[in-house]
Amino acid sequence: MKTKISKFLSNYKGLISPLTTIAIGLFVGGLIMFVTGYNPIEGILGLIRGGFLTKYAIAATLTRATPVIFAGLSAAIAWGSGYSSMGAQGQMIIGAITAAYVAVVAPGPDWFVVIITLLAAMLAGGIYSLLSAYVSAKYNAYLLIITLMFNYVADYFASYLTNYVLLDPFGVDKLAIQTQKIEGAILPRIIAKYTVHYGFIIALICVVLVYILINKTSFGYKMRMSGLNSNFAQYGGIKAKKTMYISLFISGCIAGLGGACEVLGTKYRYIDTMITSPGYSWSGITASLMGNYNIIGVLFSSIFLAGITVGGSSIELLLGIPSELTQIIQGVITILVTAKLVIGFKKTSKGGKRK
Amino acid sequence: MNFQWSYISAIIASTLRTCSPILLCALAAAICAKSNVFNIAMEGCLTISAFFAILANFYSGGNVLLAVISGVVSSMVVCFILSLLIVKLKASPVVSGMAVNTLSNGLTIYLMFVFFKKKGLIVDPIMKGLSKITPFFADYFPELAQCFYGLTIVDYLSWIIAIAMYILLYKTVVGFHIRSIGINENAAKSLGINVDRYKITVMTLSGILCGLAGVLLSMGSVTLFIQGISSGKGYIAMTANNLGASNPLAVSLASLFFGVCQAVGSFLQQTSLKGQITGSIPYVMTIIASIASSIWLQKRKERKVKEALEGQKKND
Repeated sequence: MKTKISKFLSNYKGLISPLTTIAIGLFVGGLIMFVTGYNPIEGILGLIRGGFLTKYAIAATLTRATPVIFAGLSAAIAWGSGYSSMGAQGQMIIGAITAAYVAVVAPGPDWFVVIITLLAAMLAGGIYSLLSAYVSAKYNAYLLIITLMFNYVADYFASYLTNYVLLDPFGVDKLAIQTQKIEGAILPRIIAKYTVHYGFIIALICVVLVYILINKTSFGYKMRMSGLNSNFAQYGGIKAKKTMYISLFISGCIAGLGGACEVLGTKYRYIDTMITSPGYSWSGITASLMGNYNIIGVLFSSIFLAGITVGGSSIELLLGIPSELTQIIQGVITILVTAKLVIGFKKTSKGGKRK
Repeated sequence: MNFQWSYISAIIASTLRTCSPILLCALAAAICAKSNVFNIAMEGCLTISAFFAILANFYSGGNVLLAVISGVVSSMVVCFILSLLIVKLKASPVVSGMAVNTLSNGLTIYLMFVFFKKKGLIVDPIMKGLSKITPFFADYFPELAQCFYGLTIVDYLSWIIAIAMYILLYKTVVGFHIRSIGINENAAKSLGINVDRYKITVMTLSGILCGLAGVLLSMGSVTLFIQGISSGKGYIAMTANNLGASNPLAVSLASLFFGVCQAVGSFLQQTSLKGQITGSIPYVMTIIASIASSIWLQKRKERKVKEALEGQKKND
């Protein structure tokens, strides 16, 4: 009996520390609300209700979680292999703008165009990631900074294309900086009443595929080894550069796919700053840290983070509390995780070199 | 001729103005790099200090000194807490630094809403900027003085700090200790240097420098706070630090280069070039500069190896 209990506990130990972290994060959020003169209990409850407790809230949360899951997977692959790439945002932008273009011009039946669009966006995101990896590896530049710079460049590039090359010719609203609307080739909603679309299913498929890739294939083993200790991995005969290129390419592909799903599933066009302003990329990186690069953990963390963000917009509407509160909570959670402030986290940590 | 000179002097003045925040941050990055702590939170510190400077400015009715102190202290506190996390709790510098960057973005907008009941932009006639200093030779060489148009005391201070930091790092015992930590932490520890305390002090100092830079952003050439005011300057400064190999004087030159990029970028905005292209110039140049410096370093290394080999042959 006793062994059963301890076995049960050890099975769920991995779950306890994220829950404690979340609790402390929410507590800090409540404290900030209290200090700035809002009702913290009302605020926290509103956050949870607005994010998780009604049907519409769940649908909105899953819709928002879709790009976050992609960004989280992308970050988990890159960071889990020991390469601190912040490039998910730029790769998502490149994927999104590619999707917005290809889906409009590609010929053929709708389902075919959707597949072509998704593949094109994946390729574009992957190549963009590979480009930053190449600059970083070949010229010995710091990958983190290079990817951040690539994010800015991607943002300006997409903005230029939307403003001057792909601007919607039939747009009624002249002020809206957006590309032409995609007519047929979209990812439809799963249930017509709710916003959640088939992109979420694609995200789930990606979760499974990445899980298999990382945990069940020899390449995944190589990635994890170079993430744990790159010198040791090299000594064991793992080619560091090749591993870096492939893992960052896959990570870019997934981010690009996330951008495409956002275009095909929610907006049906590229709108200027549609990827940058919601901060999908940073949520994804936070999610991958919370999940400790464990893919299933990344999935649930992404949904949680998306949930509090949706809840954040709802408390801004209902209670007048600025939705940026969720950004603060996210930052606090990240610090708690990385500083290992929560007791018990260290034991469950599977490591992973963070440069 | 006169027409051209007015353009050139305007670009020089703009270069010096945009250079100083980058320079201050790059110096902060340099001293951190010298003592082997990785500070990526400068972006967040810039935002925090720019916001708190404006906040104090608004509520004190335009008291510039109070605003500067408020900005610098806020950034210093952030860096101090971060240094505790990194040094004492062994948090990952990259992750905690990036968390500070998001956190400061969220916190400033949150507080902006709490205090000003709006998001996006704070601008109010009650707020005063840093006073502009006219160079003392303005009466004798008015054309030369144009190059220094609109510079504030903090802009001049940034160059003084660069020299002071060079002296501190290379000519004093403290600087020797700091550099020894960067070269070999364990050896420094065995010499009885309190590594942790040095690291925390250095990071707090870097917070002060970033604070000054943030104050310059929100109260320098214009007096306002806008969402995303730092616009990647903290990251660009890190590249400037890499290019200058953390030597304060070389870092100053690298910062000047990025100042030129920004000035040329904003200058070209007035021409027919699209804003998206000119806006991306500083970031593209950062990538190109990293590549170029790496090639240059590689070549120098190869040359040195070659010379050494040839010298060996002669000896044989």
